[in-house]
Amino acid sequence: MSSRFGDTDDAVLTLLDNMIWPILGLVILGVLVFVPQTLRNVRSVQLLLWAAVPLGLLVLAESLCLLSGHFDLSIGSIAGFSAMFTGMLLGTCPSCWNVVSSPWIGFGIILGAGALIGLANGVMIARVGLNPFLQTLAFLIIFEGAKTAMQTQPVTGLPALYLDIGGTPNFAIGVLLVAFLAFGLLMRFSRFGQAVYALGSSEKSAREVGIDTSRLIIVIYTISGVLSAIAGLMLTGFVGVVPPLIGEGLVFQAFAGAVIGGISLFGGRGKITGALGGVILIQLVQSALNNSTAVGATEIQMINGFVLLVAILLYSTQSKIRSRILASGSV
Amino acid sequence: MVDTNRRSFLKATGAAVSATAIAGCSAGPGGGSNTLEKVGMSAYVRGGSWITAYIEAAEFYAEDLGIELEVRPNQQSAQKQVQDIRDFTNGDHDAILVGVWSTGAAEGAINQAMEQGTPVFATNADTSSSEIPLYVGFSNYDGGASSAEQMVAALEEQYPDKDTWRVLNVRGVQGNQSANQRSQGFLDVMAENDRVEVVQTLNGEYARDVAQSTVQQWINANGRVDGIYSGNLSMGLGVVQALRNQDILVPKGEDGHVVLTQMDGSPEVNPLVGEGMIDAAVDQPNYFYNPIAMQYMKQYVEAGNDDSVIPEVDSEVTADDLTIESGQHKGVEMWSEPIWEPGIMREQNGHPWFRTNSVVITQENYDQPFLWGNVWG
Repeated sequence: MSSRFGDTDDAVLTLLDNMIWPILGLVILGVLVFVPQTLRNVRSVQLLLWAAVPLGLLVLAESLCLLSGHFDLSIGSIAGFSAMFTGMLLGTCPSCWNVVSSPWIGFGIILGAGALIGLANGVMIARVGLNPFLQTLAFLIIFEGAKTAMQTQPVTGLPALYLDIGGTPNFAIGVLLVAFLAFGLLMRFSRFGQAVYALGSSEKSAREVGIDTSRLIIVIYTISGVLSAIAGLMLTGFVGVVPPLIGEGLVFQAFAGAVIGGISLFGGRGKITGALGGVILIQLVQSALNNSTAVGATEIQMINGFVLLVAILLYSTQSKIRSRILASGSV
Repeated sequence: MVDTNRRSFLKATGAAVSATAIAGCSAGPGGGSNTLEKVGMSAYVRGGSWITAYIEAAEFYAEDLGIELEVRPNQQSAQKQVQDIRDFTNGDHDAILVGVWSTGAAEGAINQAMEQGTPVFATNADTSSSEIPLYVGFSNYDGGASSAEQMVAALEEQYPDKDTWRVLNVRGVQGNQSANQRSQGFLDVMAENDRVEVVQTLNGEYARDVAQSTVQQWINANGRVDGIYSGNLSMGLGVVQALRNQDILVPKGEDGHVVLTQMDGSPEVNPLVGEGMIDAAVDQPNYFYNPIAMQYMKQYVEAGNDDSVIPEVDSEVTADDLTIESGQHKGVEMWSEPIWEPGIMREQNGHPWFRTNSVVITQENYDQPFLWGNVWG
């Protein structure tokens, strides 16, 4: 008898862990009924996913930090700064520096810039002991300001290959999917992934089982910086230039994507694949609202907020159900 | 009545300050002399090439007039702007130029400056303060309306046989005054035309990437439209890229051309107009705003803060009435073409508004040196 209940509870727990997918399924159904033109053909899906690539990479970066029990407010400004800095080096516009012409060197620079900023974040938090909120808030402000200090005009004249990475829909979507797949596998099957979950659950316990938590935090923030820089590269390719406000305002959407995807704000719980579902959900809802003649342009932001609120309520309920099942001791 | 009394009081205060200055014993806030030597300017700096031209033109003109101009960025923060205005007022600045970030927010600080004898002139974005002597800027509403008129003309040329033209309106940030006015101006003109159906208003949020992704997804979902209006240059460029991604970007006159009109020219927009990809861009004489304001500011201060130097409301100002001396900057003879004229004096928010003309960029004039986008390239 208890075994039968245990199986049911297992199934419920599994469902709770993957709740984003049935939600996404329901939303897709709703979109097909009420705003069917949003998903009228394969191209619709391609355009939707293409637009989701930069945000998706930032959600991935944020998810990694959240799973470790930390967070990163500077991801959007890292994306923007590294894209602007590299753009200034590569661009041929009159106000650009134009000191590098090879797109390959450009790739190296943008990834290096992101990695360095992420590394600095990690060192300041893990070694110096700064609060992650304050540290990443400071970097958000610094690098957003540094971007504007460098340039307030769109950076043009970038090499074609440099733009092709984010400007070729299928390739960009491929990058996003590969990144999520790689990190999904890494988090599930590698010692690194398990260490991140352990750190997010309890830093003290993680330290006691022999995890070098300081080093791990530095690695996590460095990866977060690199992923943010790739998001900047993708955004540059998507737009075709480096716009002066690149990357701004994306951090809150990245948090929303991660939370909607089931990543716990308190660390240690959630699946990377769920975060991908969160990104797709955000983009799908946004696209459907834009396509709907029933929803005015002035109402879209409010409805987006409601979607986020519903997601938070669902996860709050999920958390209570989980606690109840686990407290019952049947699993 | 109250307004008149307040103005009289300010005049009297200004005259008193001047008289004291002439007596050679003035040294209070506001510089205390009736010469314009030092001006503080509060403006946001994070808007791209447009705002760069707007600010640099102020710096160049101040340099030509021998005025020391201190520009402080407000970083799109009304609070920071209020703080800067108060600092200027308490410092040794003779006058203040403001590009107001949030219409109502800086009103108290502006009024305080005026009361202390430091005149405040607004440019580009108006303040709700009724105390200022002058606001210089074009009309966002008229800009949107003009874009609509350009679109109708282009649609008649491109699709003369169609009974109904389907068009999209891509608007800026919700709640932003200029975004609302630009959108409303467009919609009002279109509503009067039976052949036009505005099928949707999309949120472009004044951002290139948002406009691009929104428009390309919308067109893919709902099919082609005959025309698209964008409320600023970034969104307009995003729309161009969206059409390019959908393989439907062709120049005017060719089959399948989607008529594009928008607010603002720019170094990127002007060549696209030349190629016929964008049919028309309604541009502001942004590099004239601050010089016009400074010209009147100089007269106002030299006359002892006397607002009789400001042209009467309902009058028309031409280059015969107002001379902005040209000067060599950025390799061109700047301000040589008075594209701002005629300036129409109106009243807005209880103060005079020098409403400048706008320039419609088309294939006929896209390469002209008087367009700011061709100077600040």
